[in-house]
Amino acid sequence: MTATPLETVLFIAFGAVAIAGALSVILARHAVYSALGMLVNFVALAAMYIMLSAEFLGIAQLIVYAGAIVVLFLFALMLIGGRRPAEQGRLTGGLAAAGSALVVVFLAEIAYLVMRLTGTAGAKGTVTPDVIAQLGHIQLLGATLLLEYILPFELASVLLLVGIVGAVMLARARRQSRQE
Amino acid sequence: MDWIDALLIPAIKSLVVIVVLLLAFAYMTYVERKLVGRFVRRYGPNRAGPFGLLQPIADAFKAIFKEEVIPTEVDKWLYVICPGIAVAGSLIVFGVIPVGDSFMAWGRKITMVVADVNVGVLYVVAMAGLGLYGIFLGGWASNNNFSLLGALRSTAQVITYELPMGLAIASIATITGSLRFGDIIAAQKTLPLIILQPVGFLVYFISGMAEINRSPFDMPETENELVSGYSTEYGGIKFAIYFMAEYINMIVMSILVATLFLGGWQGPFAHLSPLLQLVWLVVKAAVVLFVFIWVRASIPRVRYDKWMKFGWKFLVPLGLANLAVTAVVVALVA
Amino acid sequence: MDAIRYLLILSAVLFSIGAAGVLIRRNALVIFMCIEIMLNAVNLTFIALSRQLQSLDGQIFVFMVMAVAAAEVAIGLGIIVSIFRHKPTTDVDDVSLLKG
Repeated sequence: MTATPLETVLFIAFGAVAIAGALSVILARHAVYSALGMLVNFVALAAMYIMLSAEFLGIAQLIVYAGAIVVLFLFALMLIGGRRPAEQGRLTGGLAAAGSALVVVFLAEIAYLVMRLTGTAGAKGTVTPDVIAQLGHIQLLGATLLLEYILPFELASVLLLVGIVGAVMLARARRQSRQE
Repeated sequence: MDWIDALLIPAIKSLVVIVVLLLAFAYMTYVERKLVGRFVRRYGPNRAGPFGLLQPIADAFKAIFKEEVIPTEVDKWLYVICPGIAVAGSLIVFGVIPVGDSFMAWGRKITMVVADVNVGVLYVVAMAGLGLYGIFLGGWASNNNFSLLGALRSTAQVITYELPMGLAIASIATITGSLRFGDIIAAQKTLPLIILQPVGFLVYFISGMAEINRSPFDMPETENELVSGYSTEYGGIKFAIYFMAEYINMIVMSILVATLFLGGWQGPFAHLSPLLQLVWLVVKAAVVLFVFIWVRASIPRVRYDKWMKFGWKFLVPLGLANLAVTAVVVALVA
Repeated sequence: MDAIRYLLILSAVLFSIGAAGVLIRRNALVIFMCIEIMLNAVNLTFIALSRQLQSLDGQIFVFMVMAVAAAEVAIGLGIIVSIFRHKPTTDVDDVSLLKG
């Protein structure tokens, strides 16, 4: 996979934005700013998906993550008192240092493995970016999803149904306990 | 190649779109005030200039020269940036909507759309969702209970009515087989989709009015319960920018309805000149806008809980049924 | 450095930031956000490798992850809000009644 200079610049820019967003999630003083950092991260990743010619997933990322999940987080934050700063925010001292060290070690391992990759292992498929541009990403992904992976697809819809029922049950339990 | 094709032409097109939308916003406020005035047998603005035509300009100067007040207890950064997010969210939607076919200029073929992408309709839904953050976070940053309630209502309403809207769009995609605006318009060459999809049109129209927070569904503002909702703490130019976002949303929504259901820029003699195509689109959008204003002037505001119930218990099932029927018919015909 | 390596490293960095957040922060909502960041980092890996291998199979996983994440957030936030109504805290260390 080679990238043109413009693409390279955009990849690096969006990568930097994504990392900045993720960092502000864990560093922000107030949880609402954490949610905003998450939003920035999601939008940068969506742009990246689109550049990797996964248009539909990029837009789905915007609709599902940026449009719905972050909004749900903000809703929950407002419901449990959005104005108060997140006082009880984080661990300090030894435990935090230990946690960070663990993560740094993990990151170093992954980086080492990625650098050792020799690249071209594994058979290549036929869905090149040109094919996607010609036939359309939605059409190709839809065909794959509904012809090859129909069972996981149906299971995902069952999962979403369970999610809906669960959310309704939680809300009902709350309403009943208030009435008592 | 051309950096002209890659960068310059899209940049110029974007600039044109932004300038035209801002001008349209200014005169939209005039047209609405004039029409609402007429509906209730008043004159509407008629002092500044002939027929009050300079009224929007006077309003703009007033908003610009008002004192900038930033209340002390607000979250300053978000408070200032949120009107901008709202207006950017409504402007950016326009990028994928074609306003005409294409024409030749200086030896180049220029399409009359900033970018006709493969997932255009979904892009519109996604960007409308992002513009919502302007209202939501602005209401939160104001540190005022009325603002917060308005923001929460607005968010709940937009999320609710995104569902029937998505279902109506899915019905369109089932018939046209594409989510690209160019293909959807081409599919309406002989018959506009409003005839094939009357129920889909109704669902889309109602949820569209909810999406843009138009009266009688202006739950985020509701003067008689929430002072002025999310914009209670905003004044001067910042309030004007929120106002602008609302009106641009309304214009974009009318053009969307015209494009998705009324055949877009197509019409008798439209193939003769790109200018004529533009005129057709503007005429269709103007009809939709007139209906928006008509509804506002005629119907009193509905109660919030009833409005949410209507969305979940009537519009969503209706949209689902419409999609199911459409899918079966398309499968039988094709 | 070719693009695939850059993307894999980027996704590893994002995953690590998410993991660090889960380890360091104690606010239940922020921990939840960090989990979402980690899920997204994995999605980026899937899409980058799907482009590299020129096959759409990896993107099916991304689709599934999105469905799971949506259901998970709806339920998870419902539970957090329920806990908050029972005991007004969002600190995960305060919710330790089951420890006895």
